Amino acid sequence: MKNIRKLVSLVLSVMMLLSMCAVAQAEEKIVLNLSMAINEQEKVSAEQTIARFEEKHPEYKVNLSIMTANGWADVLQKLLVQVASGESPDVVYVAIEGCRMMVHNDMFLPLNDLIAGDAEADVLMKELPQSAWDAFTVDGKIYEVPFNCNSIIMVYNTDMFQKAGVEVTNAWNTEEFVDACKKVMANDPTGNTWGHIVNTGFIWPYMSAFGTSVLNEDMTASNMTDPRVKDCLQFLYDCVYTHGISPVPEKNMSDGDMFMGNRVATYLTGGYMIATFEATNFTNFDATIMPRGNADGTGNFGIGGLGVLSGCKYPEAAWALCKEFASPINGMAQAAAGSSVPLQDSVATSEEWLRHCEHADIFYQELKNGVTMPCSANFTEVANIVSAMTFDILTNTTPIDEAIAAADAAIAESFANLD
Amino acid sequence: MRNQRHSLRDGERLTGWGFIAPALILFLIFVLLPATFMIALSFTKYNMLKPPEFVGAANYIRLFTNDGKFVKTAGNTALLTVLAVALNVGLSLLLALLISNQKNSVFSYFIRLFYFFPSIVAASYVAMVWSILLARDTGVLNYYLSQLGVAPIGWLNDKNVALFSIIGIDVWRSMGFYMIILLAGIKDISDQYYEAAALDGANRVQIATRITVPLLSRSLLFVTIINVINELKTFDIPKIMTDGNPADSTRTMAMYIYDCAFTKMNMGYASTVSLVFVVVIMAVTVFQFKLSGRWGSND
Repeated sequence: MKNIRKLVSLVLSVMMLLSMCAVAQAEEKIVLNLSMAINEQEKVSAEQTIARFEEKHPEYKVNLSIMTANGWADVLQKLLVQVASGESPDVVYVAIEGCRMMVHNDMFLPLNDLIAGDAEADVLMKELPQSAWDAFTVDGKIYEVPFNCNSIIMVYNTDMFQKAGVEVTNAWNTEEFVDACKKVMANDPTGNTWGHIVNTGFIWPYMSAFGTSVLNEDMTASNMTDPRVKDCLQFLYDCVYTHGISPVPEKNMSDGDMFMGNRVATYLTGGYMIATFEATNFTNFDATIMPRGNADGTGNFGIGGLGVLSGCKYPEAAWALCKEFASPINGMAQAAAGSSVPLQDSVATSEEWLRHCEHADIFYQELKNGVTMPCSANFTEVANIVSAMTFDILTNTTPIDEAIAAADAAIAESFANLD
Repeated sequence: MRNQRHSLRDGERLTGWGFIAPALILFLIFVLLPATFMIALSFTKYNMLKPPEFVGAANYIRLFTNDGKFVKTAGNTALLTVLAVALNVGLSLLLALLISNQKNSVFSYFIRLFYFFPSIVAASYVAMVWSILLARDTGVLNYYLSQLGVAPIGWLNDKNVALFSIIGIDVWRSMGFYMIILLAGIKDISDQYYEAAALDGANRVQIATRITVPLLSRSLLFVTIINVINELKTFDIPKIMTDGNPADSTRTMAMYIYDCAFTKMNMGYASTVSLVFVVVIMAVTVFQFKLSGRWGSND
């Protein structure tokens, strides 16, 4: 009996000692708080990347907190409140929509010194397209490491187009597009199919297809008075009222759900929807370019990166984490899952990416040849102004000229109020 | 003897303070301090990331002289409040009177459940479901109306209709809750009145208008005050269903304050609008309490 007691005491003491050691060891680790607004598919590759990072750097521990939000404007609002309340993370996933706002408010650390002091950085810089780095460069300083991309393309329902006998070219213009949509709609005896659906909160790609933007080139002022802006809005208006290929927009009309429900033949989306299509076993889709409105028209892309918050105590550790996320291994994992358009040539030509649909290569082409969305320091407000303007035009609430003038004035006021 | 009485009074006073201290401390921390902070912020320009910058009365001058959106949202909020309160109080009273007359308790129970159910469903679900039902070109309601030859109605995207759709959904969601309160009030009315009325040969309408409604005035007043305050604060349903569109026709004051604070990141101006809004709510509430002196009496 005495021996058993001694044995139990010994086991308990050893356990206590071990747990104390473990606690001490955990306390010694440098903890990095990483905040990301990602979905379930993206979470898988993020956790794998963090595991690889922690294995390579046992001295670091990453706490991943996932933010739930409805679009980037919502992410930025939440992030601002988080930082203002003193709960700032060390590293944050912010898409191009928020980069300039973060820089404007001195929330991001410039990465140039870290890049200059890292021998491996050169490989990373060359591996990723220049357009991706340019997206995160403000006044000559790099503020984020790109790791996730969504070039915006048009997806179309292959079954519907095939049944209507319409061949999709990868170089069509808006007239050809409208004709194709009309044919697809005419081929549906129920009359429940729409040719195209317009998301009024997402008109940047249409603007690029008309060779223009709602903001000027350096994203510091309104560009609403550019006649091509009106051309673009007129085209969208005509899609609804003249050609009848698009429904009148609603705030909660989900373009993705309507597309997967075979209610609409085409819509604009980023690479992120591939994962959703596949998760729901929707395979009747292929990719093509957004039809160009004129000779100046280009593609459009959004890009996501990791930035280091200016209050971060361990910038070297944060930089190492950013590099891990931008690695081809993570790029391949994201491409395979369909949660991001490849950023590296090697990934873009891989079977893992190209298997998603017949013309998956178009995503990478649009990234290389496209322009970024207009992401000024006041993006949240500009996005709201432009979205409301488009909604008012497409619901026939306000005439186009009047809506453009009001939006132009509102954007100008927003820039004037910017500190 | 006199000193003893004094010490007793001091003791009682301390005990009294002790009892109210928790509530007082919470009030100071969660009401008075934030309110004071809000008043101070209303004289600043502040984006939460940089220190507040004192701008004097500039926010107030802008609000009262150069803010069309404030005027528009104030008008929307007033219209929404008046119509929603009238419909909520009127319909919930009507339902309460009809149900209280029901002899079949099982039927009455199901009717109560049927009307009360929407008030316990989260606003976000209500908003999403109604958005699908009311979509102009893809919604269920317009589909059935089109079968009857009715042209599509922009329930949520026609500026002349959208606010009324929001009001309708709000009333559908809230009236069951107010009906339950009024039913409880009706149950409290003594049967003696009804027996006397029956002896005098009064019919159902006369009983309802001459006995039930007058004796229900306290409950009606309570329902009206609560409803007015709730409607003035309307945020969730229009935010989710229309986000204030089209052309700001469904933007309420609470949504405007939110936009100023979290979209434009101008906490100073948002505080100014909030403060003016609080004053309006207080004025309306005081007016209602004044009315209660005459209207809310059962005597």
